[in-house]
Amino acid sequence: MDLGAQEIADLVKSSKVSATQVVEAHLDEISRYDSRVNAFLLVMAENALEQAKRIDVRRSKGEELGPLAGVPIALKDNMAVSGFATTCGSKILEGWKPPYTATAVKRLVAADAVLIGKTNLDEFAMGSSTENSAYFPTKNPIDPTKVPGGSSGGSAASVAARFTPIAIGSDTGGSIRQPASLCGIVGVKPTYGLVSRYGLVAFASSLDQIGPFARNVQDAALALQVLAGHDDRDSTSIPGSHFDNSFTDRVAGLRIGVIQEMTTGISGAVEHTLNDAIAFLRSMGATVEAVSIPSTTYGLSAYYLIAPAEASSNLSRFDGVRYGLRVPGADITQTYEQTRAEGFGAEVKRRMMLGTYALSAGYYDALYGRAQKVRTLILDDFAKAYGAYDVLISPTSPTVAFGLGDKTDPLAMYMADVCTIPSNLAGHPAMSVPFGCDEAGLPIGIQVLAPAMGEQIMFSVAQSLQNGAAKPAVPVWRRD
Amino acid sequence: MSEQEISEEETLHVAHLARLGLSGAEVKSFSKQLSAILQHAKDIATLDLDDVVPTKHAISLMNVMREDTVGDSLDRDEVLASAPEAQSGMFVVPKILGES
Amino acid sequence: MFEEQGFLVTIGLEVHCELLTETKLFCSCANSFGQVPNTNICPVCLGLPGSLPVINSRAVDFAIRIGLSLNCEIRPSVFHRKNYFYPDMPKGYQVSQYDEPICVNGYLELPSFDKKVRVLRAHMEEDTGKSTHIGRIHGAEKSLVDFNRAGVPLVEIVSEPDMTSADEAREYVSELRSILVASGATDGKMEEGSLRVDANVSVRRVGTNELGTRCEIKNLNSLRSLGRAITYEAKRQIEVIEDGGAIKQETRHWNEDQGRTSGLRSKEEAYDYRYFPEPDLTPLAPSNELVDAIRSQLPIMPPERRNRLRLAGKSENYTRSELEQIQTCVNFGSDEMVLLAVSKGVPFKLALARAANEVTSIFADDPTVIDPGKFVELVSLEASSALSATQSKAVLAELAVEPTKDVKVIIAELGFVGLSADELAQIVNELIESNPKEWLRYVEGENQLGGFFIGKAMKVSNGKINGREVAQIMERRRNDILASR
Ligand SMILES: [Mg+2]
Ligand SMILES: [Zn+2]
Repeated sequence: MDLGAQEIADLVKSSKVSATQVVEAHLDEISRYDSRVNAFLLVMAENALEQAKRIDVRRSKGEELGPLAGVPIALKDNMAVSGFATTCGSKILEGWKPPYTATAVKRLVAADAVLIGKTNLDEFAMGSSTENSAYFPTKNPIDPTKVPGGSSGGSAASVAARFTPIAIGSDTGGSIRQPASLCGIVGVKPTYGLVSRYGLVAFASSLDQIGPFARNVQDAALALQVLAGHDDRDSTSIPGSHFDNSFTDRVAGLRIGVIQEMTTGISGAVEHTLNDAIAFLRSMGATVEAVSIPSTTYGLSAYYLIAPAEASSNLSRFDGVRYGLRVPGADITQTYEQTRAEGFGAEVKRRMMLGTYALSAGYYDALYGRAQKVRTLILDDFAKAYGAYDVLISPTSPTVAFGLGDKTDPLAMYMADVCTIPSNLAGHPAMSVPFGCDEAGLPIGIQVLAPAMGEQIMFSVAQSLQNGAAKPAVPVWRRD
Repeated sequence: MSEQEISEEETLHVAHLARLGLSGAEVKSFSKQLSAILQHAKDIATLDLDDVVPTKHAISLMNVMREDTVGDSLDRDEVLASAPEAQSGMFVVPKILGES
Repeated sequence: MFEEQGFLVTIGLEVHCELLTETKLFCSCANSFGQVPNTNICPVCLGLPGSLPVINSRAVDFAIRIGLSLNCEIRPSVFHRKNYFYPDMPKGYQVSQYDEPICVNGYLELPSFDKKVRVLRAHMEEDTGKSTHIGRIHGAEKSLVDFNRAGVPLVEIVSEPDMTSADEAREYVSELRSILVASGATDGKMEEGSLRVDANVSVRRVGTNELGTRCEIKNLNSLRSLGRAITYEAKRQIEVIEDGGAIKQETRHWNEDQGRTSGLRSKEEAYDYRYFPEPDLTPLAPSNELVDAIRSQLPIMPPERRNRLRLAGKSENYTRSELEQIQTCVNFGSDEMVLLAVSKGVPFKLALARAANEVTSIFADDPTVIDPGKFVELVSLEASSALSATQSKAVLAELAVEPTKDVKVIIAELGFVGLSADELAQIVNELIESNPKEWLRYVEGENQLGGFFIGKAMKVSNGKINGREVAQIMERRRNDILASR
């Protein structure tokens, strides 16, 4: 199934194809090829077919269908869908079925999208390769010996492997954009507060945002239009917010800054692609200049104190009392310690330890407190940069996809997020668009960053980049 | 790296605060890894941040509240069905220290 | 009471008060006491993964009401997470206010000690669930957990360590309760846990300024427990010090049956709550308009009501029992009746006595039953001697049974209708004629024989007369006779 989301919705709405046919074809694709990719933790075949049937019945009655009519969607398995297992890629939640549905998922269903399955992720979204899943690693569809990136690796792989035209991920430090870049697709992290977090299992509450993956910019925008909007169950949801899926591909006259701090330490191929992108944008009439945002250098440090701190608190609820795994001990304390020792993987333990330490007596001010001040510097620096530039660009990832099992040092893995983290700390939108690849054919994405609620202009630049990306240069999934 | 940022003893203390049972080997490796990460994070220790106000939220919303009206509660049996142990409509937990 | 032993006691109190909202602090589950376990629960208050809190606006209003009632400053505030593990706390952290509480720097007056206790802060937080130890199941000790109470809105009121005796502490809580109930923010029921008190107690030698190491006593669910626990704890600490020991800062549990406090058995664990700002909530910054609007809706608080009563009595020096009566009226809410009666010319002390004693006992079940107009009518009659005290109380009792009945009708039904002056004079004349010897002795100064005549008059009239009026008539007759001699 090579059809995009907009194409499917148009065909279903105009009765040229039934939603059932669309869903069957995609389920068939998954059952044939997912064993090579391991994108899915759960395929909701029966539910998807029932949903498709209901859409077809409504269409046959002449009812008007939603903007995602019949479009199969894969969800990262850290979003609650009532009655379906939600594991967060962790043993501690194995078998748990939430009794409620995430707001973002409700909005997709209300737009007549079809939920086709839950995708693999680094446990509790902590990781940049999807190797930290307690179940199995996901492989990069472009080259199955490579990682798909993470933590939303399963969702990225689902879209790259054409199992679904759209998948939903969550991005705390780059978990949508980095895998999008590594898998050669489009991935969007919206402005913090644009998409409701209700029903997204929290990793770092002040940084988490839900966003879409798609194979083209228009489909990503279509999905974001459905996802975006105020939710009174989420106190951090922006009142009156929405995203209007109408934007141009015009960049002429735009002032575009290239973040200098994000062009050091990147691979040659990535640098080459970035230069191509700069040249293309200039050729389209944009002014492209280097800009320094000094505080972004400290983003990684701030992030690896703030995110683990919030995570250490968010993950305290997994205690074996109300749901999920329990490893009984002699008393409650022992039960907690054994349950959590067995239920969590090494990376989650590492970050909870780091976060607990950063918040503990005597270290709060020097670690967590300072990190929050760095956040202020980053916001101030971005504000200054946006005084001079309409949007900013950078590579999404310093390198192309690395080999499965190659990165064993946690700190080296954390470096994978160096370009994506500042947007989370600032709460700003950013997205990754595929623009090239290295000699081995591994994809390279360009990151477009915009100020808060600047999605419209961000999408325009992304659309332009998509037009400029040399078609054969962006590799695609080869089934055979 | 001169000295470990976080000793094995501290690692154990933090693990207890986080209610994580760690093996001896884990204590050793976490102590090393956390020290390396903290060492890297030291770059922010050099910044002059005295006059900088910390950012708690990336967006500046205030006074977000809801009306005091009753909504739906969950079905008790459904909730207890996912509990590791339940009895008499309640969650069963092992002995709590300090209770008798 | 420990001063003769050479010690001073210092007490600070932390009072948790449950707010009378319809729903919990961060979710729309019903906030109600005594429900079937685990029926008022939802993803939010059960801490299910992915759920998010939203602040209940009425809880904020109530917190502001409490702050204003305690003369606090209302400040912009931030919710923090207080991280610790406990099975009745679903998220592994309690959402509470830490270094930026909503109310700060207030005070409360202790009426009978003529003393101000400073209120350091009053902050909002969520309640925990409830765990019950049930003994062994399959050979292991177990507890049961009910989350109905988890997430119920609380305001925690923290005093400065300004109290120096168990009596002061009891009066603080009692006065605080009256104020909180008057504010409408809570029902103040200690027995249902709506008001829970923790006491910080320390002792030091007379003549030293530095406060001693304090212990925090938990589980004080009545004024009686509070007083006993403080006295016990002070005594214990003095004994430890006199034996050359040192007080260890710790949390102690009050056992009401044994009448003693005991250290909570816990591992040597330094508490480290790792507070940090709750990222799922926005800060609160109540506008001046909101605070003013809430202030304007507040009823008159107990201290002001006490003051009004004292002014109505026009006295400088009240007896202890009168002060107690004033306090009782304010607590019960019968003070308005007294003011009304006084404005209609009823003597203050009479109205106060009836409102503090009879009204509070006869209408204890439901203070709203008595109609202030009827009360005033009744005490006016009593003041004019148309009714005796006994009769007046009997009419009140009848009003409790039939609150809407006319006071005059009740008086008639009970046969308390007074005789006319002529009829009364006639009865007295007849009694004098039929008991000439006793009359003579009365005239000659044997006053106790007045009672003899009043008794006879009671009998003859079937109790319809007012004894005082008979006495007045006799007195006048005697004076007439003595003057004519
Ligand atoms: Mg408290
Ligand atoms: Zn609830």
